[in-house]
Amino acid sequence: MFCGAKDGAVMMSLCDMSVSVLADMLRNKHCSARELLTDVMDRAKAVQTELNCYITFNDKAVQAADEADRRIAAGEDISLLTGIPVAIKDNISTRGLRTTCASKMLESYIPPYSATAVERLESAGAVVIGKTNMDEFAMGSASDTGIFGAVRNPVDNNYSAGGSSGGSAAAVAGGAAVLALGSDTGGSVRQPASFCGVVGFCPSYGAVSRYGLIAFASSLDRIGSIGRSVRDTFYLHNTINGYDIKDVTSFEKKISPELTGELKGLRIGVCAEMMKACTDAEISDALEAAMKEMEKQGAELVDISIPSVKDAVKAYYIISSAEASSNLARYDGVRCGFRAKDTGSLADMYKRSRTEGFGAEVKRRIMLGTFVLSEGYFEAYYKRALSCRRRISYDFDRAFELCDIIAAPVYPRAGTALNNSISATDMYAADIFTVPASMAGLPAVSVPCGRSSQDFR
Amino acid sequence: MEIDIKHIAELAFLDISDDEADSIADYLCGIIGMMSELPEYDEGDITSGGMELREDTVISSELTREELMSNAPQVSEGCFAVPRTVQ
Repeated sequence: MFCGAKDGAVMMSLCDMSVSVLADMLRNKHCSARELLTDVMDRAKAVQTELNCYITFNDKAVQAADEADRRIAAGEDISLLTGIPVAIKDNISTRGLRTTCASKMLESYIPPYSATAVERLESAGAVVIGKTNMDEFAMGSASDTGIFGAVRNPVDNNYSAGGSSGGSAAAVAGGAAVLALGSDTGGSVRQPASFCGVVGFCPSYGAVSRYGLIAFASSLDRIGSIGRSVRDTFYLHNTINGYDIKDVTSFEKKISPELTGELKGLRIGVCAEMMKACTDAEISDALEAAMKEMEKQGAELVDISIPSVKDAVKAYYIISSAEASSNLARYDGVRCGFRAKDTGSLADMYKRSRTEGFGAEVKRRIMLGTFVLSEGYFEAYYKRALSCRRRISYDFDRAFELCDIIAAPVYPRAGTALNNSISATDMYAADIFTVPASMAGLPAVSVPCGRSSQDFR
Repeated sequence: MEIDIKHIAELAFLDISDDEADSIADYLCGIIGMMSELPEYDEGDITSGGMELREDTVISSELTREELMSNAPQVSEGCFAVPRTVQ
């Protein structure tokens, strides 16, 4: 469906519009939630072969859209997200809707309950359109380690959509969803959002309930929001932000309901260590131009130093892999998930189910995590990483005495080609800008601020 | 550094073939080499504790036993079933 197609006007599909415009249209009966869903679903299915954003479409989405239309027609007190189609990353549980983590291990898993974040979206009247493609168990940076194939970037299909929430970011960028949930353990919302030219917000640890998010590294995992603008992303986060007794690490503080855009007096930290690590001229030029623009709007640039950020990636891969090896120990072919056929003993069944059910990257991380937790190495690696993590938090606390926010790139490159043969150490090292905030539990947002020569934002 | 891949695989309940063992050893050596550069931080001036967690709270679940077991590969008389362990 197209709108604004009067003489000379630019035609715009419903699926490309912002949340606030769509919310007004729904309230004023300029379109129905069913029409909006149809438009977004048509786009999603049209680009599926090209982008591979989705793993499963929600066959109950039409019912949800009709319910939204009923609430609107009845004049009920509805939220901004009523009738808005939202995609959900496939590691966030959706009751009755397959949730695979892009893994053979959970290929047939149908959750008996929904994540709290999904419940909050559904209570607000949002329409779950489907489950998005990702790296297996959220382990990867290109959404190419899962069993459903790689997600491709809407800007250039030869490039990755980023990872691990690549399906969510590509769906929003391509009009295959208006909003999407992702998960962010070390940058998995922010980096794909950056690659696809959309906004990705990773909230403070504890601000969004992790109940129903299938665990990768519990002390780092967060459910993040993806939208085509800061305002759209803010609406989505504000809907899922809140205390939940089902998550032991949840906290009560709600974020401000106001989004003023006021920059006057805001102190923006420019971190020497991060700027030094940014070696791509296009990225540093775009960042500096954005900072200058913010300065023009009344913000103040402040030089800061966070020495421990250079060690964040090393400590992150120790902690996240250790937690992954522990969390993924539950997949043994007994209570849920894949079980190998024709096994002998119980021990043989455990081992073969895990060996056949997990993919290569997941097995490597489990092996790494098992190693750093094993006798003789625990002190040298895991305890040292925890110490580094405390130092990072401390250094950020000191930095935030001098500034209110920190501006930095999201990733060392604007995009990565699919099927490139980058080594694991180089791939992990590239998380240098996203991992520090993950380690400190800080909120972080990825906002487009320029275009590369290859058109990536 | 020598890493006993077979031993780590045993601990992780994974079968690693000889071919896979070589590539996993290369991977682990590369990553652990990077991790070995992690310095030991002096925490003398760091006073913050861990995050506050809520008290353990018992809440009743609305889920039935059948729903909770609905994804199990094998169920027998309301219990998870596994291969015979006693001959």
